[in-house]
Amino acid sequence: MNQVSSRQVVLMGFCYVFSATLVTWPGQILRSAKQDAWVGVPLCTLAVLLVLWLTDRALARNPGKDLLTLFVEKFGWLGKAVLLLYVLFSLVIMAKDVRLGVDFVSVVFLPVTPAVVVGALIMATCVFMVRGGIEVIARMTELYLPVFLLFSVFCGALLIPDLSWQYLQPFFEYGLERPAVGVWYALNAIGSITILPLLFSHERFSFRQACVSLFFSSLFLEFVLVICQLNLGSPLAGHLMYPAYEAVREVRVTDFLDRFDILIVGIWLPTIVIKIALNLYFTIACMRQVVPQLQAAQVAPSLGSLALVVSLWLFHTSTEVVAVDDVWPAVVMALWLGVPALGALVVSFMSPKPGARQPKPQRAP
Amino acid sequence: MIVNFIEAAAFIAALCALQWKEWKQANRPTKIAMVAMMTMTAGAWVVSNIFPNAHTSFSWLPKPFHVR
Repeated sequence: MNQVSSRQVVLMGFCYVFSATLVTWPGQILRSAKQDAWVGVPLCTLAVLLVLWLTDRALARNPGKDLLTLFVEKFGWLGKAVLLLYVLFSLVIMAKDVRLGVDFVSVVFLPVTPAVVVGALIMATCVFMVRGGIEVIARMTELYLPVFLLFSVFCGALLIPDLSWQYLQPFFEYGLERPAVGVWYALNAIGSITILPLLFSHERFSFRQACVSLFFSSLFLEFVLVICQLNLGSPLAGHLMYPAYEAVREVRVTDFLDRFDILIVGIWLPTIVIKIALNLYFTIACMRQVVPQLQAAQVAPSLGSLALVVSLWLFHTSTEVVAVDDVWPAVVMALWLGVPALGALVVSFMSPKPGARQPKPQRAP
Repeated sequence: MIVNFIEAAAFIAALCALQWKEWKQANRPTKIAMVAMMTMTAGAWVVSNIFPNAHTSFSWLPKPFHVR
């Protein structure tokens, strides 16, 4: 049975936004938005909240159906065309995440192992997870995400003595220019939360639970961003590839745990794998809406191998992923926010209100 | 060049061998999807190995903001 609880859905949304984003995102946002980067996350959260509310209205009026199903049911061939666009789009997201994951593993753990071997191991794990169904992904999220969050808070607390609060100043040095840049890059991370209404129906999660997922993922993103900023400073953190990892390396817990960072990365990496697996599942879900006879378990290895090869071919290094991420918020605005919001709005108008009852048949005179 | 071709062929052959069991269980639309994706995988692998310079670094993408 492929049943997931509401709590698991909340955790999966959290993991999708939080995990892989932490690899390069803090450096990128701090490089451009400097000391005002922290303003971007809450502002972006408000914008995404509106989209989640719109999608929730549409799902509430169509019980038992997710947004992908509604697109196909209500818009026919146009909906299927949009879903094919989603397949292409999520293939590029997978390629980016695999590339970042592979480079991260190469830098931290296995510097001499070929990238294709590391990538194949990551992708094989994802394929097995997807073959097990959404339940396996949900259970892995339940297992690893809370531990990772606990360690994140623990590391942040250990870094408090090293924080320099002057790195946040001067506030709004160039007016609203830098906060606006912060919103642009925050969209890259937070906008992807709309995968929840696309994949799950109103029975699985309500607007309140979507808000919980969005709120906590934004809170933790803000937490890591501010820790990086106060620990390293935006000029330095902006020039590092993995500022969150560098901040963790500052933590020294006794002489025995000299390489404490390896423990953290060991817990971090499974959450990145979960995100890639969730993306693979989403891609197959889109394909199955277009071709309902498609067998998910059989098609997962082929799609996984395609994602791996595309990632190695499209991005020779992680820096190329960063170059793409500079303009990626435009795609996020269109496909993660614009299409679900517009689609949900139209679906809401086309569907009857949940309270509206069918008119009783008139008795013949 | 020859080594690259052999490497690409071995990689694709390994992937196909791994999916033989899936292939036998799959229905017709799934088989079509598998063939399409494996062909694209092989194409991307061969292009990336035989023509490593046929690749972009994405430096042509516009920087959306002038950072100051």
